Amino acid sequence: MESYIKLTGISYGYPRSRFALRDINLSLNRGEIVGIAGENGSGKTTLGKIIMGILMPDSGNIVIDGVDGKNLKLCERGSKIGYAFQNPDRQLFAANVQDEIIFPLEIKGMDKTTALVRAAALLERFELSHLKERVPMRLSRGEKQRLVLAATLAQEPGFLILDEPATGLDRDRKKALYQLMEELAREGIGLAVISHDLQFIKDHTNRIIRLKDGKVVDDGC
Amino acid sequence: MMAAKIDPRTKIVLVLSLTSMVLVVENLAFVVGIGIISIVCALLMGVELLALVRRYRRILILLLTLSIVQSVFTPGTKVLFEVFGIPLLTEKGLEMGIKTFVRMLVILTSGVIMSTSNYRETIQGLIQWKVPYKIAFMTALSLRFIPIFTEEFQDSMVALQLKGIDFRKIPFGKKTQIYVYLITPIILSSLKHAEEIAITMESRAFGAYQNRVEYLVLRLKGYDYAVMITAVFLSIGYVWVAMMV
Ligand SMILES: Nc1ncnc2c1ncn2[C@@H]1O[C@H](COP(=O)(O)OP(=O)(O)OP(=O)(O)O)[C@@H](O)[C@H]1O
Ligand SMILES: [Mg+2]
Repeated sequence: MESYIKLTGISYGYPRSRFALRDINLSLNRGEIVGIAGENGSGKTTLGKIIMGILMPDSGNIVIDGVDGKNLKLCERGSKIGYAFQNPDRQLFAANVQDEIIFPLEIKGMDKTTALVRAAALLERFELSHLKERVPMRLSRGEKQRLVLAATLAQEPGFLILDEPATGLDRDRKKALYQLMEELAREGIGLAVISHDLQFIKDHTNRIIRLKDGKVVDDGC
Repeated sequence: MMAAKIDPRTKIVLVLSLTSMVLVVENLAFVVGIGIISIVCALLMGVELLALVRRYRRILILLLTLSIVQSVFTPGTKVLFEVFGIPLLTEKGLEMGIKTFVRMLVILTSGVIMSTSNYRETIQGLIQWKVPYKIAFMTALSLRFIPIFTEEFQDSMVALQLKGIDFRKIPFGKKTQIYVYLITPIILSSLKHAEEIAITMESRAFGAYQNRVEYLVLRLKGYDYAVMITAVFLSIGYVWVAMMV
């Protein structure tokens, strides 16, 4: 099977920093849940940003859904891969919860009624319907995270990257997150879950990629 | 060059003169003049202009677009450009747009000039001028936040693009909405920063002791006085001339 995201020989170093990702080779597929594990500072977030095109690799190349990453603008990548930032505050803009989901759809030309229907379904799924008039910035951390997920899924991406999704969630919410991950995988969406919590990853993913000092030290089950 | 040696207080006086001038003066040519003067001052303070333009490229483009939007929406009598009889750009609109752009540019440049001093020195300088420590600390800190704001701003740009928004293809009616979205997180997070800092300062008992021990003592040199006095008098003169013409 053709993999959805393919990284070959990716290297990246931050300017004025000794840290670097070195020679990363990875294939990520739809319908699969992958854990990306590693200690603080091992390069997990950096890897996520490289895949999203937020950072441009120094060498190597990325193919997403059969298209060379160099030919994909950020706004085009966003509808192929959804990304939930480590800090949800960075991804919330709108004046109310419902608008957070519909404004990008409207800007891309969807008519308001269709956008509202899609938003209603997502708000329902993420148990946010009762909060739809609230200001996103003032939600609790767990609610913000759910809203970011709902807004990301509104773009109907083929793959999702979640950076530390379990942080700040209570036990029931973690369980709900896990169930959601499985549901999405069954629907054919691929997931990469970034976490320093090896136990969470071991319990809830089918494949573990371990990073250490910017290198993949382990890729298996 | 001499940038490192100039007292932070001199820079504060300079920056205050520049910003108050640009906000007070209404004459277009004079506003543009202040814009040029502030860039020259930044250069004299050892700011590398090219690196700066590259770093603030996005913000400069945003400022420019905001100014253009403003000039398009301003009604006026002298129409410069019209489509099917609908006035699109008036002379008054163009003038307002340019003034807005220069004013914001001067404020940005002021932040950059202040960031050439170490913020501990800035605090120290203000304290020696009998500014209460708390206020001095807050002022210096907010100046230090400017680079962080620009970083947050860039993050917002990225996040909006990842939502599938192509900045070059936003329908006209939605443009202002996007600017509001870009600016809101920055304002909210700066309010949050300020609140957190205030709480932290309280909890560390700032102000509990009347006299703090100073490690660093700044001394104003001859050229500091020269720059300050020149800045103040020149700006008073400048504003006066601008009001006359
Ligand atoms: N913008 C930056 N400039 C310079 N260095 C950076 C930058 N961002 C991250 N780094 C460095 O790169 C290294 C990897 O950071 P990264 O955020 O990818 O780690 P991580 O595995 O996500 O860690 P965590 O578990 O804390 O989230 C760290 O040493 C960090 O200090
Ligand atoms: Mg991280």
